[in-house]
Amino acid sequence: MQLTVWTYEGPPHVGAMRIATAMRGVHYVLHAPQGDTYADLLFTMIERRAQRPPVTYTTFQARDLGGDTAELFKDAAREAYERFKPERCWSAPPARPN
Amino acid sequence: MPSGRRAETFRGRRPRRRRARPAALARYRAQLAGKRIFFFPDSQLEMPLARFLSRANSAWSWSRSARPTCTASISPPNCRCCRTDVHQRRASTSTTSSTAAAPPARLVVCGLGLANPLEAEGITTKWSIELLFTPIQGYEQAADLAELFARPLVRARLVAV
Repeated sequence: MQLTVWTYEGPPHVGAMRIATAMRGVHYVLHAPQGDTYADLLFTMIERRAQRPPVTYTTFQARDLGGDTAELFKDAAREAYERFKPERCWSAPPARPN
Repeated sequence: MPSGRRAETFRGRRPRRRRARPAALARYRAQLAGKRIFFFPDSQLEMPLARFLSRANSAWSWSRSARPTCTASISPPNCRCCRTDVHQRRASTSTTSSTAAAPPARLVVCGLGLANPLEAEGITTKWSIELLFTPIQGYEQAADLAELFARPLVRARLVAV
């Protein structure tokens, strides 16, 4: 599935998170700065859901941007897969297959 | 002056000293005894709070962020340090239940973002920010501090279905 138009309230990664939350067997790996972890609260606190959204944040900091964050992303994706064993992993920004 | 009168004066004028006595903590000590408490790193108050709970005979554990000042060497004996950092908050609630070789916590001190999923797992939670908003710094407030931890445990028992 490829989304071309964002019709959800909020920034795109929150919309993607909302879709991931609505599906089963999906895990979303979000390569995101530290503050983006706050998006969790839209689901657990505002909507009072009983589970966290199925999201793993790589959570880089400003100083990480001086170097390569690819390893951070790969580690996070690997750990998320081992831990949650999803049928499908999403990533944002989208990982491009070669 | 009769000694009884003096005692009365003492009770009337020094309520804060009375509240600081060990007796003020007795009922909370009973409620907290043996309970394992998990702190997510929120305020840097985790260490002193853990030390307080340790003295209140509560078995507890706490998590820390990657701060160099928080080392196991200055922690009390029944404290267990988990290598949990901010990144792992993403990780899920089972951080608290599946930490290696540690039984799940009876009470988890956390932000509102994690409270509902943890409650859904049957774990009692305490909103961490209350430990910042409530005056707990004075020696006469020891019982108030203990009550902050005891209250959710009592409530969980009262509303159990």
